[in-house]
Amino acid sequence: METVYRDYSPKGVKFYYVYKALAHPETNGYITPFTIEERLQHVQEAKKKLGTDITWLCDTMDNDVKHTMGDAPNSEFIIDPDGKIVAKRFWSDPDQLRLDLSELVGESEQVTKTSDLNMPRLRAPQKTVTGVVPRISAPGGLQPLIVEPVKSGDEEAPFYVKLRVEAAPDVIGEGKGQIYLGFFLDPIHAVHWNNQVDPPRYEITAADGQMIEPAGGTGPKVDVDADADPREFLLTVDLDPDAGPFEVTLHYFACDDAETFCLPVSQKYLVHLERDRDGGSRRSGGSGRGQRQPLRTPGGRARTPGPTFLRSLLAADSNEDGQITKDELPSRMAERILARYDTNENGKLDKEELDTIRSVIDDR
Amino acid sequence: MRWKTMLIVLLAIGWVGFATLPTMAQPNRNQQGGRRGAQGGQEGRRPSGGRFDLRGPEVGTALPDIQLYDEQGEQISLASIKGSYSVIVFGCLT
Repeated sequence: METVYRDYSPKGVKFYYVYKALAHPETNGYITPFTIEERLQHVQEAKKKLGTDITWLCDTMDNDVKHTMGDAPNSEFIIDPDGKIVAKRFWSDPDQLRLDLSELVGESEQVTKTSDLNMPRLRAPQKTVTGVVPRISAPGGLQPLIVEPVKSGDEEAPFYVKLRVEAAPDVIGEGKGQIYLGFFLDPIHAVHWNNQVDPPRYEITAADGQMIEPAGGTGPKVDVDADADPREFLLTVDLDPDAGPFEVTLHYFACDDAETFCLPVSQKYLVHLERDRDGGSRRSGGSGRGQRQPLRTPGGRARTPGPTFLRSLLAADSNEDGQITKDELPSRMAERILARYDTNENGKLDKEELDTIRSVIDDR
Repeated sequence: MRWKTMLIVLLAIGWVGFATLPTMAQPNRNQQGGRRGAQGGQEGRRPSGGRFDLRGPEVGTALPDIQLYDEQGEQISLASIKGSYSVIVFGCLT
């Protein structure tokens, strides 16, 4: 996209990125913001990390633009001078865009290549140590639930910790089963857990007759003084889907990485037993922050294979050992598939990476 | 009798060929050559776009008048994007 921008903005074409809800929270460390101010901080982060001069716009927290414009993760539109849509694509395709623009406004005098750009690479923003708290093994096929931060007053601290709750579809429909609670430090706020004090502690309040076990819990004791790993819990619930949301309160110490403050915080979140259709899917599924993940930049060249292809890929596990080695992949495509999905770069697709592929299929 | 059987088979083959000819002559929407973008931009290479085509605004229609924010947090209307050819791409950090 950047090369097309470089070549066609001199011809009067304007380019806009629209920042939308995160497709894969936790990738590169970023998690779903709670407020428009935080989403605007994401925009600044994206602008800086991608090193782009393209103008950014930002969707509302209700995701009005995403919903209105077709609800696709990486769509692309060409608009004519009258404001009418002359082309649209489900997935941005810079090569095709270049062809379209050459017909609409004439060929550009230059053809910039990606190698001509000195684009920075996104790095995980978290500076604090990660990978010290083991990730829990959550059931597959979980879907995000709607989590609503509860404001306690005008002077309250930002939600340094974002709660992500996930449940299987039948739990959402019937109210019975396991749910996942993940407390994630938001790297936008550059804070860490202070492990020299009591670990973070949660407690849950629900309507009478609603069963949530355990209704309270404490994070693990951690040997290092500070870390930024999520604190995760698996709960068993027996809820009436019509009983309304339950409330989660988290008590923790928020300490910033610059060591300018360290303060006790208690914050509340309302959890609705309703799927958050803009909640995206976690790709890492427990692999922790900072690991290399497939990068989705707006208009990036990465192709996303269709679900049929991905299902056939899952079927490539010929020895049924739950992982797919390079030898089990079609030789013609093995390198490309591993480059895209072998996020821990161990030369094969292991369980977590296959779960990622399954989540992509589920998204379609 | 064998020639009668052969005649019936030949007639059957001919009828099937005739019946399928118009269908084969119709170009497949996804195999149309040439430009896939400017007029029929939703055609061509795409991982999955069925719901997108149904939900999103159609080619030829104006951008809807919905609010969003600029980089400074000021509200603007999506419909204000006009006056020159423009490209809008959705994306995020993940």
